[in-house]
Amino acid sequence: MVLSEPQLWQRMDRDLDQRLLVTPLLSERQVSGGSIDVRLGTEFILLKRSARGPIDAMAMDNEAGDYQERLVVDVGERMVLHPTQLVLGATLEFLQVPDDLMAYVIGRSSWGRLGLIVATAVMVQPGYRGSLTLELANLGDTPVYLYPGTRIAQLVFHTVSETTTAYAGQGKYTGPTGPEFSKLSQDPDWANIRRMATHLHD
Amino acid sequence: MHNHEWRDELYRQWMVSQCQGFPVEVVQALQKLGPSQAVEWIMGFKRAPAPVARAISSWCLEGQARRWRLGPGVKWALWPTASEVWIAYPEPLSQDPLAMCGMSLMWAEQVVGDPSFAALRLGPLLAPAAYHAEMAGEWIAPVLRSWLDAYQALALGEGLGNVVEWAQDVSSGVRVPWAWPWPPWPEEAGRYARHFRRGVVPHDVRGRAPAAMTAVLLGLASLAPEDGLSTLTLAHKAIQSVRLSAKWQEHASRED
Repeated sequence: MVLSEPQLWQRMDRDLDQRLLVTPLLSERQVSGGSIDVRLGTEFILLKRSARGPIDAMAMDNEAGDYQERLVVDVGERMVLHPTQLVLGATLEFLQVPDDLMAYVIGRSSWGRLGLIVATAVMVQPGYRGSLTLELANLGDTPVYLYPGTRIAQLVFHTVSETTTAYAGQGKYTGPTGPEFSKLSQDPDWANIRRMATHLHD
Repeated sequence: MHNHEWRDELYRQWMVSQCQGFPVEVVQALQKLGPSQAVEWIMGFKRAPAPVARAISSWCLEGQARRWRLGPGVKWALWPTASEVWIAYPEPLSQDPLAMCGMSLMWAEQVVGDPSFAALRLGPLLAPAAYHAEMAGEWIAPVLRSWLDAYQALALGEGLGNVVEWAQDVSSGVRVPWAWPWPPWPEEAGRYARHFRRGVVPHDVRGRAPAAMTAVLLGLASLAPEDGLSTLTLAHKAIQSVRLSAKWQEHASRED
């Protein structure tokens, strides 16, 4: 069941351990029509062309500095996103999703029509705490300015029937306050894939 | 050309290349410093200040007539030039907002020449700031004694217990009867401390940003040291929220 606007407010008024939290909420108008608008944050990870070789998800570490650069752009300033460029941003807001809720992140179509695609791990799991990393790509032919503080996506919350699979404390992405680079290399499947690669011709 | 002249010329060329964009008065002042001191300042100020240091400097030096420039360094240092005041902070501490409040103490001592500037600005945070910034000495000892008189009873938590103990050890001198700002914030500070322990960014009703920076920092200071260290990113986010929300509301109420 999708939560309505009154239900969202009611969830935001609950005790801390059961509270739906989206902070800082700069305007109450962000909660409207059964969804909560989230804004573009001020921290970015720019992905650069690397001279040292391709990204190898099997071998990379978590801070692959050769092909990324961290950048802070304050609200009131802007940064340019060039055609085909990919940048990791984050929501300005920090979230706490109660154990019996999950959310879908939907990019705003008005940005999409300018060529800006806001992708992310579309589903926010029950119990998640942290800002959401956003993958921002310009698919148009014209550079686009990004303005931190603008509404970039909306969250639609759903109730879940089982509350035993809380994300907090289990997931790899718990608690960030800015964008995070891929943690693909931590997936447990890599060990098996490495062994299979070693014994490919057995 | 003697060897030292050659060296001097290399220093001069390097400074010209590095100081582009600096105010003329600052370049002139740098040229009067010894080479190693000048290099230290320039190296620090070629890099952007850490976001926490920048946010705290904006808050705790707000309203000051003199402009300042902030940069990472090896240790605390302050250098008033004719046009602006240069402040270097110890880079390893740059993620700690309580330590960064130490710049208010340094400003009070070396720019304003009056410790009550820091007392009024930081209030209950003064001793936590001095403790985290590793600032002690003759100048601050009587200020800490006065702080103890005003706030010792606050006893908000384990973190402040350590600060009180430290202040008792290093304080001395004549008691100064300042009118310290008695905080109306302990309730908020306690609530924000619970938020930190829960692992969420401190907030007010319905996700609004906290209204008072001091209460957020006091909540952080009241945590046990191991909790405080693990919540510094949440503290940074809260600091950013306080500043941004205040500016947002200010501009939202204006009509162009």
